[in-house]
Amino acid sequence: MRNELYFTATLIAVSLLSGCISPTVSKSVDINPDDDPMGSAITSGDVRTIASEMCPQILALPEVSDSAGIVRIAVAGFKNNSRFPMDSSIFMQRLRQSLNKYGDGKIRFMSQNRRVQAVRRNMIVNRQEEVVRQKLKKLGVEIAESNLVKNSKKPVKIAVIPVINTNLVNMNGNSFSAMLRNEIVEAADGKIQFLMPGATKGTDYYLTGQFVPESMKSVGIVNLTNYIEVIENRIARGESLDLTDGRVPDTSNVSGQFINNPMFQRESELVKLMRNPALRANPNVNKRFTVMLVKPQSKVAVYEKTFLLDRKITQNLQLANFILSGEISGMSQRNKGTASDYLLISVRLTDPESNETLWEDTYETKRMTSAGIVYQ
Amino acid sequence: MKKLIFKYIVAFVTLPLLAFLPSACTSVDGIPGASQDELSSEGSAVFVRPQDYTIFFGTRSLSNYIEITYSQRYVNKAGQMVVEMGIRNRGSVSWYNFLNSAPNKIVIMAKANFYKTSQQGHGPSSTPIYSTNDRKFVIKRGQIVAARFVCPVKSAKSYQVVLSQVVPLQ
Repeated sequence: MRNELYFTATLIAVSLLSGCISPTVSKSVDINPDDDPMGSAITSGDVRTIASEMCPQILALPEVSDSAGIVRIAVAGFKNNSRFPMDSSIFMQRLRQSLNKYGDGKIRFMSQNRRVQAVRRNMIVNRQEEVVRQKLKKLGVEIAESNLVKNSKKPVKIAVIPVINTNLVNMNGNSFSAMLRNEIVEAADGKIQFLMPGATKGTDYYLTGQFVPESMKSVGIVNLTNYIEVIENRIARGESLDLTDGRVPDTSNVSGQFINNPMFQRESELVKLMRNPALRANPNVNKRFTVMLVKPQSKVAVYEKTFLLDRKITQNLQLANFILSGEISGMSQRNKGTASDYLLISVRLTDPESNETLWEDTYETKRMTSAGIVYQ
Repeated sequence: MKKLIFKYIVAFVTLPLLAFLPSACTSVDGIPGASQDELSSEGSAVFVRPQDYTIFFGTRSLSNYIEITYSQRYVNKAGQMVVEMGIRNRGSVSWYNFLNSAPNKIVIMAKANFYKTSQQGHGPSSTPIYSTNDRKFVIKRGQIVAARFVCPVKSAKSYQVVLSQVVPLQ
């Protein structure tokens, strides 16, 4: 009986004790953002004070308050020169939020956020594809209504030579030609007939074109007459219209059948141009499209038009009126585990044209903290 | 004796418990608003009641240590209301401060609320159109600190500055 009693008491004691060793759950306490319970050198209260003090000053500047239109500001960020590892962008974020909130719609910031720029780039590229479609449609109508077609008594025969440098706009050469062809046929209503790809006999005109990158004038431009001659040569030899099929190397320093042959050298130079990594990488520049109708016999372009087809994607920072930047500087002293830190946080507004500092203000704070050497 | 003890238990324990029961049974309880008389008597600068209160030597109120030397407001060229206030740490001046020497410096928090309409006669009884954050001011004994608050919203007509002590986290 006594043993049973002891056993039962032990069981009860063990079950009670097991309740005592349950893991503790960390608790969180809500704190006012202006309070400083940890006593660190720089706190959320400082971030808020800077925004609260500097926002009205920026809004009171004559260049901002008296400006007739919207004032655009580009952000150069906050540089942290102090010994404290921190996300220094928090100062700019808070100040920007105050300026947006109390600026009464007068202040706009240029977005320089990477994620936003990535999505924006995607959207612009997709929109550009629609722009290409519309412009091709317009081009088709223009060619169909040109005097060359109107004045012809019989249907005009056109041979298509692939558009060059389609790698610049990430388009397949054949599909671009097919799109252009389709638009012309739709607009021409039977007045234009296209020959089969690779056929040139009996053609009235060659239809060709190229994409020209705006900033790489010395590299990206192809002499279209040379290009047409090279293509004609390939057709005569029964070869494909694709210059990059590997038949001709992309260098003029060759031996054997290619040496001293001007046509092959010309082709080789064209291949080198088309394989240029700078062009193949679809550089972020304005790209124009030049379309031509060329008379086969004289190689004279009887119709030529150039228009902007793909625009450079930029952050449009050139639209900004001012640049907002900041800096965190600090001076620290230590003595037996106690640190004293003087922090000077400066914010300035710069005029990008004149390079003048339009406005500048500083916020200073000095605090003593008792902490280890490694962690503050 | 036992009957007497029993009566006291009934009187001081059971009856109060029974009295609380009806109020605990209701699902909501009305909240009385702040006294309008008290609100209307508030000025443009107020001290918040301190955390510490001693029975013997009074409160360690902020007004024991600090005083407002000047207070002015104006509208700047951009149409923003600017409030400037001089806050001085005057040290210990009350008779009951003999037990504690005045600190060399005090840290106070000051926050300004700006209102669209005049608060005179009403006190802070409307929503502020702008509030600064609670700013810290470190004031050495004898020093005057110039506290400056600017309201970026141009329609401000009145303000109230609230001064409080820095309360450590419990």
